[in-house]
Amino acid sequence: MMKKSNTIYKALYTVALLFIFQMCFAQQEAKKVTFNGAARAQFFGDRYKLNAAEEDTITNAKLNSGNTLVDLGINIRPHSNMEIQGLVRIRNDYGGFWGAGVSFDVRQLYVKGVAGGIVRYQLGDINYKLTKYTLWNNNQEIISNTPAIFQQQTDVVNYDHFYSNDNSWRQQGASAEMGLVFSKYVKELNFYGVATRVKTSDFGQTNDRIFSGLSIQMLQSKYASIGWTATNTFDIEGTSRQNSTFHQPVVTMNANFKIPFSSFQNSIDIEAGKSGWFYKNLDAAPNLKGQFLDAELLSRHKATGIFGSVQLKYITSEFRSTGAQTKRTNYDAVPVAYQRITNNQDLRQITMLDLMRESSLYNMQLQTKLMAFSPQYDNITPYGDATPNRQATIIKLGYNKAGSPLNIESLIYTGSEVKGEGTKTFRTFRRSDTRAQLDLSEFRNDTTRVAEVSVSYRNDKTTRAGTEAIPSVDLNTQVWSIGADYEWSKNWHVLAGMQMISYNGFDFKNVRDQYGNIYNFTEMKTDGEEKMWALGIKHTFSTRSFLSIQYYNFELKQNTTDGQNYNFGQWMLLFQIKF
Amino acid sequence: MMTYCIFDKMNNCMKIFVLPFFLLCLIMANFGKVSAQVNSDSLVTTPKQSLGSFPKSLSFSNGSIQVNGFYRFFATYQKQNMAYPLSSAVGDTVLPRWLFIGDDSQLPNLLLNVSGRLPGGSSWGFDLRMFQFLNGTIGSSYGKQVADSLRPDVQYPRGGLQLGGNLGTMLGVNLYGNFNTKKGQWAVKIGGIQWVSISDLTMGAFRGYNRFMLFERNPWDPVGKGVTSRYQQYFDQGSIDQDARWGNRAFQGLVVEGNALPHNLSCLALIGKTELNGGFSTTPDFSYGGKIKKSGNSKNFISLNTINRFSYADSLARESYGLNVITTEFQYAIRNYTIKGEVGAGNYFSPVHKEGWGEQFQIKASSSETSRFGVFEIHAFRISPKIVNNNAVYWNTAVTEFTVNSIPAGSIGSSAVLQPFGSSMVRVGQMTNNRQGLNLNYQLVKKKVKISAGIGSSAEIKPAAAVITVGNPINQFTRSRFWRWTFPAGIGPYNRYSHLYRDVFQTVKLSDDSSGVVVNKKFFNSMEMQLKYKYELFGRECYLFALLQANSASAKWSPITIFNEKAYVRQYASEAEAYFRINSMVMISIYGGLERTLGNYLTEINEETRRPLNQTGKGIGLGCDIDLGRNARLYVRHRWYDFRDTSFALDHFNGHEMVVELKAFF
Repeated sequence: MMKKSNTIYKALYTVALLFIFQMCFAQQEAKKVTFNGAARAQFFGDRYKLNAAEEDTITNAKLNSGNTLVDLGINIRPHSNMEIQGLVRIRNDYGGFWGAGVSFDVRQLYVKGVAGGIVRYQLGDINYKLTKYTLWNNNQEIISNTPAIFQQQTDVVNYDHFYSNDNSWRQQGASAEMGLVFSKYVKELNFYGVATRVKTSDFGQTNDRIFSGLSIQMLQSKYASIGWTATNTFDIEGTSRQNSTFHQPVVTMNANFKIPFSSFQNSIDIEAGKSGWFYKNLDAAPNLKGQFLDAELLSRHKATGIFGSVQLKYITSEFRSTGAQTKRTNYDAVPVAYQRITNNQDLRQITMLDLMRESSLYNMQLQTKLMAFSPQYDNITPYGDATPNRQATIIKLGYNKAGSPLNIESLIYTGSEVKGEGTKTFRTFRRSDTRAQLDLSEFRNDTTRVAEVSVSYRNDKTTRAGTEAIPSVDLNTQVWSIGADYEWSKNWHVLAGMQMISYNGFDFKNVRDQYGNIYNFTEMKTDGEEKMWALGIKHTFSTRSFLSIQYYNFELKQNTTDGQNYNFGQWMLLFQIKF
Repeated sequence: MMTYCIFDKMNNCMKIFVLPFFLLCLIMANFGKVSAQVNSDSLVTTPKQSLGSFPKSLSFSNGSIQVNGFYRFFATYQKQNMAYPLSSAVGDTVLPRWLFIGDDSQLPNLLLNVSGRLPGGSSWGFDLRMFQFLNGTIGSSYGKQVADSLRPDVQYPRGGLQLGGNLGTMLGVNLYGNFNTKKGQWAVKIGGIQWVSISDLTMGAFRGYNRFMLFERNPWDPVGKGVTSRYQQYFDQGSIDQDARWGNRAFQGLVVEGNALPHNLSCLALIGKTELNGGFSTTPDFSYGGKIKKSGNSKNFISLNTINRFSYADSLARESYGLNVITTEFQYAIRNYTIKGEVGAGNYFSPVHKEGWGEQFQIKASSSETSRFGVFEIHAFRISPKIVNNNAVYWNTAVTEFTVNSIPAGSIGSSAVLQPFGSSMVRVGQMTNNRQGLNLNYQLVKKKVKISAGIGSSAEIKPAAAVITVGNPINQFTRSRFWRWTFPAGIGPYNRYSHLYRDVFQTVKLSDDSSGVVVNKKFFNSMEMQLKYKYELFGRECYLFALLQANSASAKWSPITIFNEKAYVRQYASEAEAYFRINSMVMISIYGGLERTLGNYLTEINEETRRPLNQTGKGIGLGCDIDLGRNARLYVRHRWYDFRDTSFALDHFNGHEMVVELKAFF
């Protein structure tokens, strides 16, 4: 461990020295070395109030914190086909003077290039994505589609964890990609390969663990493409004293067809595949084999902007995909801010406010087992598209037309389990989800200034008929939000937003063993409500920098015996620059 | 079940399909033209791909990045002829010889200021400092990794285990934003350290009257354009270029400035941490304040200023302590005279301080600088003992501040950041709380001669502790280097010295109390005269600077310094220095200083000699400045020093010291 840390620091100094030298020569060789990165200042002022008959006399009600940091990226291009990117993070914690509280770190380091004009390669830190069932970083629940005012804090968390809109996972390893171009029959044939290290050997009982992926995508024409993707998460035998090795392969085929018909744009997306999950030389471990099928027909009317889709899903309960089922949110973690509350100093449960701002709740490592999830927040698709044990029909309908102020999309999810859990009866799932965005700028004859209102509503319902011995399951979740972004003067925005989650009902939570097998259930009775509203002002200096000050109010009400009831008030100041 | 069947069939189809698909790919590969379809981000343009590594292209702003800073080599060699006790512990004495490379202050060997500016008015900046002590510890790097939990204390950032060892930042990270509105020009600064001042009585640092010696350089001093520029500028302007911290206070947080507002208004608002709030506890501990200023014609203005500190004494944030200060400041020019004043009130509160609000004011009236009779300035002030504001230019000498813990000041973890100095003998113009006084300053500027003189008289408002604190101006920096890195109190052979940043002061106990109760108010007098003379010798510039001081503290008021034993403590100091340019590259310097500090029989008496303080300090120096090219200079100084208290025999040191500094700005 120490060795690794030393290596990191050596890298830091190397990058720092490189930086200094390159600064000196930057004038002479301006095109070889360029700088990019981001700078950010963020300060919080929190106030907590317990809503209970007995006053909380143990918890500190007021907390302040903050930091200022610069991520200085040095992009070095030794020649036209090679690029080295190093990113140094210099962070200054609020309250530190004269160098106290400053930390230096290497945040990113990679080399990439094109070998021989044929193969594109990248070594070091890689953000990589394959398909939704092989390697895909699903958005976190609840806070991914919130009003703009809530997105600012979420964006900070996402940036720090390398969660991008492209749904790629940050990995450490190597990738290589190449393509073939044809003059007839087939347009392109592209090859993608990646190998990253998920875990290092401890030279005792833990082997080196590798995630590898290979994808071949054939673009026949603009109307059809077909592809094959295989990933495997596996231990390298012999890298420790452990004889048993883990293996988790996934193989999928995917196809996309575009079928123009009259004034309709139609497309069909299909992906199907199978997975394995097993240990070699370990009899106690299960051998899971799973399959899935996902097919979607999408049709869009070009003239009116109305679109709709029908999607069919079938994913067996044994389907496992390390790259696609790993969650961003780690529900086994606890919040750092106000970790314990009440006079009993109970651990505070994760709320949507924590999901929005707590870095400590987020995970960046690919997990070989299904991670914990919160049924109150998402009991239907906790692992995204690759959630196992689901068969469903998803119908989408929406309106999105260029130049139109209104953008609306609705979804109805109707599905059930593929295999009963603890009973032969399947849980059934119903979800209705509607999002709308209205651009009001046209109504005031000034489209250069933003005036937007967004509304969303989601209703999840999980049911299962009970028996004499097993109570019935009935869990409901409702999430609604409304937000506004109004630019009252050039570059000056007023932001407001409100989001509410209410959940109530009963379900069983799975208890899994070390291999992910369900061996028990715990009863979960829930009845609560989370409300969050915020008001803020934002000034944009340019598209790359803004200053924002906001006030948030959060309220948690739980009507269960072990429920927590409290309020948070939070001031936040955020200055962000991307350069 | 039906779904299962469909799936099984599909699965079988896949098995059938995969092999032909591979074969097809291989066959096609033979006919295809190989190319890197997915090119390196910034190297070649690439078609949009939905798979593979992301981002497909990096984005770069069209902003700019600048780097500037300085390199500073600093070395001192001390040869001590006496085993001067550093504390009362047996054997804890100065070493006979001491070679020290580096500066034990915060100033590093290399400081880089890195900043970037974006279109639209936003910018960012941070500094990078590197220390190099040349102590023979050769390794793969100068430092080592340190766990976060072992980070140095905010009160002692250079102590303990350090992140990056010899690499760090001095001022940290700052973000800036500027924008214009119809109502004015605005600037926002976030982060820190930033250098901020509001007004003298709210937040600011003492600037003095530029009466000091140049022989020993400050770490932050510039090098100037030519070898004589430093001395010529001091002769001409009475000061040398100072860096951003001059007159300001370190601040971390949010600062908003508004200028060119309607009705000639400008404003400043800040919220965050001053050094007094420093620390990483998440319990709120912050300061806030600002000013609104209305400017009139010429230099006239009136402003409303405030600074407030808010902290909690307990971990539950229930009991608060802090301060509130509000003042109004004005300047009014009439004909050849200017009146500048500040009047206000302040309140220091804590679980054990409930004195309420007290008054404070200062007023300065000065004549025009263009007068051929010279410039006169009268300065009157009064600071209530109820006000404790260590952000202001005045010192706290009256109130023992509230501390969260009982760790002594100067020790790691102590919350006693600034303990009262006791009743201090201070320079002309320097104010303290629990004091009122009058200062008269005069400056005459002629072509070859500059005279600057001051006389001050002040008195305590109510009797304070039976101690007087006094520094020793001769060999001040040399003495401060006896104790490096830390700032302990109660040190030296008789536990009476305290170490500050680049200074040491002694605490003199008085015995005219009544059974431990202080009954006498103390009165202070100070006189200063500075002479500056420039002439040419053999066609080359020669500068002569002299500074004379006479200060006293007594139990009776006097308009001028008391020169007899009626004073508790008297101190006289005379310093003179000469600088002569040899050629365009070399300048030589000579220094001499003599100081006498005397106590009367109401001060502490030595048990052996039965006499009070009788101190003599001497210093003689020789040095040269060597030009090393544009913005680079080498400074060499050698000083012979001697200090002796004939009444307190152990308080005696003697030796010589060489200081070498190489400084280059870029």
